[in-house]
Amino acid sequence: MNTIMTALPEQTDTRPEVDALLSVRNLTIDAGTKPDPIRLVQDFSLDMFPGDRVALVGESGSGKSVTARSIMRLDPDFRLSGSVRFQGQDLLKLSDRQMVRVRGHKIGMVFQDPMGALNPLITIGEQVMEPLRIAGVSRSEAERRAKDVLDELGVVNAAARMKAYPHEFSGGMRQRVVLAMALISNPSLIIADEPTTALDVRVQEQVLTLMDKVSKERGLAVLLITHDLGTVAGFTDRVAVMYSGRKVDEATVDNLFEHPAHPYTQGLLQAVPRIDQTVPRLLTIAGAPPHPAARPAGCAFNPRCPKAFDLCRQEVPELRPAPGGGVVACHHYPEAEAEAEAEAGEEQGA
Amino acid sequence: MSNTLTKIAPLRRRTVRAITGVSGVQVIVPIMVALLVILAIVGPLIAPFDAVYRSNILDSLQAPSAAHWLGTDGQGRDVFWRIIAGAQSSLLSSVLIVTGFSVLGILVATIATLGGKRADEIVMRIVDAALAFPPIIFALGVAAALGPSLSSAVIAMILTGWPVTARLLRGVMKETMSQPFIENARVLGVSRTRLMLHHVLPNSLDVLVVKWAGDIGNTILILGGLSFVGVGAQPPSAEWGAMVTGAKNVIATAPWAALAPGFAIALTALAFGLLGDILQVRFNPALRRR
Amino acid sequence: MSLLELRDVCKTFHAFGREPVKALRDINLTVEEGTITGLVGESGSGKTTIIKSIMGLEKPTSGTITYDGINIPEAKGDELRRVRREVQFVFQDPTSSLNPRMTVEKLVGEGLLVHKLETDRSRRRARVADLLTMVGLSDRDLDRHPRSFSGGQRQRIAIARALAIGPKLLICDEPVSALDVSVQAQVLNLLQDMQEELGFTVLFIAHDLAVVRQICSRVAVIQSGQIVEEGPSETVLANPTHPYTQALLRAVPNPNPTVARQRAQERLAEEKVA
Repeated sequence: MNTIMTALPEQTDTRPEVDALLSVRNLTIDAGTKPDPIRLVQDFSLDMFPGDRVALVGESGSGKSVTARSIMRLDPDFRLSGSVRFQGQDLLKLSDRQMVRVRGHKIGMVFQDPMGALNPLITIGEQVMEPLRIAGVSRSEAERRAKDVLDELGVVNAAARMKAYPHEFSGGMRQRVVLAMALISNPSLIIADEPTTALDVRVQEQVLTLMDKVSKERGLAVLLITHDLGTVAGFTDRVAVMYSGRKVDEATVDNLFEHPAHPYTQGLLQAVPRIDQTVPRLLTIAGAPPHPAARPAGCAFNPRCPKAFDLCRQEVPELRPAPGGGVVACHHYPEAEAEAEAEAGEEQGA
Repeated sequence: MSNTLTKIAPLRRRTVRAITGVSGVQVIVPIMVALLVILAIVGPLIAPFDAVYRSNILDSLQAPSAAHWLGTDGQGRDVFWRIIAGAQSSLLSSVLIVTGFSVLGILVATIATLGGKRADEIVMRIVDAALAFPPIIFALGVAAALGPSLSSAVIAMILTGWPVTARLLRGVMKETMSQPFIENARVLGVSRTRLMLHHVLPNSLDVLVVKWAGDIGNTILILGGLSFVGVGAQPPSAEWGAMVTGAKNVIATAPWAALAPGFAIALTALAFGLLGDILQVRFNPALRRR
Repeated sequence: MSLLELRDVCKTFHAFGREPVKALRDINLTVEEGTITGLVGESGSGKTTIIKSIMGLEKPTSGTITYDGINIPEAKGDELRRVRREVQFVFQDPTSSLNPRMTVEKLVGEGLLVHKLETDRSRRRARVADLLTMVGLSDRDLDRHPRSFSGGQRQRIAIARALAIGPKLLICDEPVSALDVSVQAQVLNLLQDMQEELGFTVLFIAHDLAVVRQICSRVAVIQSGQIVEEGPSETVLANPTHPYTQALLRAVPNPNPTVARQRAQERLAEEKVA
């Protein structure tokens, strides 16, 4: 089964899967009680290679945060199936204790609300050092490394400020602290769940710039979860778009913005007001995203899709190669076309 | 602001759903409560007077049998028929007490919430003072003034029960007052009365519904305690609390005489408690399954 | 003609044992009748204090807030009633700004009832149904509770509620920032259409400059309690003169990967210099 799945064109990448840092295959997430479970995410697959910067974009109910949290196995109530291989190890098969060693050590996590992620009663320094202390690093060594990472993140006078408490820090500073906690044990992957959503634009810019800098300097892979296509453009290499529990579109950032394949991606790009241009009237996507418990039959986007036809209302489209590269789940890019292209290629070869 | 409530809410929601979600509970509990209420109304009419009130020393402390389903007490009275007959005084008086002090509590909390800072201060100091009265001592006082009877106990318990409700409700109402939709209503030009009746109270009372139902069981127990010290229901009343306390001396030889009314109290408390949870899920759209 | 005018409005908060906080410093702001005016600022800039002052829930330390000749902080009786009827609000989070216990009919019809504009129940229901159609919902939604709607639909309900009593001035406090991206455009278009159709005046408070540029004809930028720049939005957003406005504009993420990457490069370079 697995070999067949990997042979399917679900990756935009041609790099071999063995080299992947993170390789998610057919991750399916269920919540709720047994007789009527709610399927939050269905067959999500994604590959990330060392140093990759990938954005996972979606709206509320798309399953993007649930996916990110489930990679880290943060919600014991969810039932997960599929596989999440990180450095060759299936995280879904690890015991809870082994998972603790992955979280915060091999994979760092940054959350949306920096205040909620910090304990108000413990000093900044203690909190940044905590992952190291748990790993058994000596206090003086941990202190030194905490100071270094705070320095790296532009916290001025880091040694003194480590004695401060979270409430003495501004929102942007707190997000730096959270980032420092995620970075201190030298992870090779950071999962950032809407890290800038709660921040003002200028602070948002600072935090993104920092993440940009750190990830480049350290060769760190970043999975950025966001609802904001704007923040994606300058920061990531690749974008995966989720809609109602499924990945519907994945492409390089340039392709996604220039030739969006999925009608949903196209609609999103047109519906967001842009600072560099005004239109007499914004183009809209009709309706609202469906609740995970009440998805329409066929493609979940079909009731809102201007291009929907009969097949869209009956059958869920599979991910297939998109014309401009990448993959897309839409009946407008039928297999026939891809096959024809492939045949054409073969003929040329012959 | 709403920190405590928002943190507890998901947990509470889960437990409420876990209990009330069990198939059948939603149906059985209201039926049980309905049966108890019917019993309270018709109980004294159907129970044979002799079995309930006539002492018969020769029949005393008999174990449960075909003749006496739940056995007999120290004076040979039939425990089963006494429970049936006592339902009225036990249940109706507790409902009356809890409803009475809830209404008082709502009034006081409303004054504290709407009356501004000063009114709030004064009212809450009075509440603090009233909280200092232990119900039993107060009931003794009332009984001394009005004569010992079930109605003195009811009055005493209404007069000592409201401060807890008032205090709880004032906290909840303050929190509701800080919700954006209250501001929204105020800038629409809604009057104070309407604000209270349509916006604040409906969004604050679900806490009280649960408390109301839970208090019923508690109240039956205290009423029993009052009967025991001689200021509540007077012998030979078949009030359940009085039956338990009356049978406590023979608990080793005839456990049924105390256990049966005790079980009736527990069952009633459970039924009303679950009813409170079910009502809460019904009333509060936020707790409903989406 | 100006419909709402803030003149030299100051607000200082005193907290025990702390330095007084000057939340608003000499705010001067004019909202011209029939326009959509934007007020832009970050959190803590004083936007919320301005809104609360216009709502009459917060009294300015000094200065006047005049709506159509009425000084709102001092308004009482008939004057206050007029303000309550003619100035309406749409809030950021439609979930918490709608009473969860009320049906859509009651929510939207409440203003009509309270201001005795339609006291007959069935006629009120009909008018509410019309309003719902106007904002893109239907009369089938009359008996539903806000919880059963999506975020965008709830904001439509909130708009219908505000528009029900025919306000002259609508204050919108970040009306789309809590909504799904794909739904924001619908609500922005709705506001714009309603304003064009009914001709009311809007004060639009937001942090998103792109949104402001799209729907506001004038814009004022507020920073730590002071208006630092004000003018037609095309001018202000195309050629900002104040460094703060410039910084805000630079920080807006650009959805063009080439431009955005270039920006990122520049920022990294700046970071290294600093």
